[in-house]
Amino acid sequence: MALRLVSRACIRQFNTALSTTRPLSMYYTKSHEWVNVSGGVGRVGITDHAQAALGDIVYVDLPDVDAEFDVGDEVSSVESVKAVGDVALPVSGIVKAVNDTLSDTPNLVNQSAEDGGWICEIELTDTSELDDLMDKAAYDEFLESE
Amino acid sequence: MAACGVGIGRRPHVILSNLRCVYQNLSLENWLLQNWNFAKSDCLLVYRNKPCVVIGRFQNPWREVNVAEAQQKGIDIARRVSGGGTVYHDLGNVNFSFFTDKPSHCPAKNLTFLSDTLNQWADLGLKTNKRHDMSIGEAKVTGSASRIIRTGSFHHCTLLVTSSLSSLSSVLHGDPHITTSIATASVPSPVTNLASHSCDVIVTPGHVISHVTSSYLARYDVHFPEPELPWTPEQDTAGEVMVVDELPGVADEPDHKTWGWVFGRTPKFTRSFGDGVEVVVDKGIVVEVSDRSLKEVVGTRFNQTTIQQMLYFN
Repeated sequence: MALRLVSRACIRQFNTALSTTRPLSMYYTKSHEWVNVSGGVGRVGITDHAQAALGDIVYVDLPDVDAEFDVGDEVSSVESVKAVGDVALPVSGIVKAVNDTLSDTPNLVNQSAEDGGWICEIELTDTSELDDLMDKAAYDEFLESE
Repeated sequence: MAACGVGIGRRPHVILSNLRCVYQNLSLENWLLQNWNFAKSDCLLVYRNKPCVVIGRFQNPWREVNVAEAQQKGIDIARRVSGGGTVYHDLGNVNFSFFTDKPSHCPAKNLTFLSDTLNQWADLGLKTNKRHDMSIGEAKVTGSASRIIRTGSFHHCTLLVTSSLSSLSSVLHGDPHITTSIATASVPSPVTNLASHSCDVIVTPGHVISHVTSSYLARYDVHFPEPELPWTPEQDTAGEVMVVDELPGVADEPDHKTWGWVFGRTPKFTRSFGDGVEVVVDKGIVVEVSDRSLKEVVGTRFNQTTIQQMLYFN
């Protein structure tokens, strides 16, 4: 019954908060990669902090579909105007999809590192490895201390 | 770390390579990146190669280089692990590779160090810019690139001292019939040799190496221990110049000489053969052809001459 007293303005604010709140399934590494997990599948990319440090990205080397990697393996390389850097896999898995858009538009990683600039999707082979990763709050604190 | 100063408390080492093969020197450089102890130590690796062309990590060798002419002249084609564009090496070109940990990685600092050292020695009028180039007037004398991994980094640059610039320009003409390519492209620039701009001082690769390496060690505010004899690998070699005559740990390293690395890492491209005939090449292998007469080459290594002959005889 109390819901009838909630104004439309409050509902709009609540919906906005949902769309900008980080999903609870986002995990981060100390080398600035993220994995967004849903069920046994994870979408992987580099963080906004990483893309800013790299500068304008001119090439993203995508892995082969069905390739299997262990946690910490180099799953991708990224070339920016400053350097070629590695993307290490946050958790072990098998590549199920790659973001082909990055072949033609590598700077999508600069524009939207933690959303549209995702690099690949993996099927996790050891979900217990997620325990070793940071959530958003811990990652933000980690960035402060670096 | 002070802005553009060396990392506080870090210890310098110099490694001179006596190897002259580009594949061996690139393998040495990559081996150091994977195996160097970056906790407290920096390193300056110096190497020179017999004539070769070096393309960037994600470049297309056929687009950057006249592959047939290079092979005919015995000029090696190599792919490095860092990015950037295509460069020509010969013994008149000196390569400096600055190894340090990730927080201390600063190509701008390295280029300022190089230009200051060389200007003080030979009054060359070198200037650096934001693209990490070093120039005399409008002409470049260096090309820079970097590679960063979790445990460390290097920034390397070529330095034209007495290079044969005419050989450079003839081989760096790629295939104009590559119509689509996602590989990174080179940005052509006029180049010049240091030796052409020195009035009073004799400038040779040997002199440059000597001045740069001794200045590199002098930048670090460290006390160098006296080496104990006989020297063992566990000793602190900071301040010492080490010489490499053969590759360490060769069996464990990816071979920079293989077709799979040099050509097989090429991003996807399309090559036109005229009259609407095209082939699509991915990772150096022909994956699609527009003409039935070429179906035999699908699945084989891209070879422009073979395809042209097949079209001619059909």
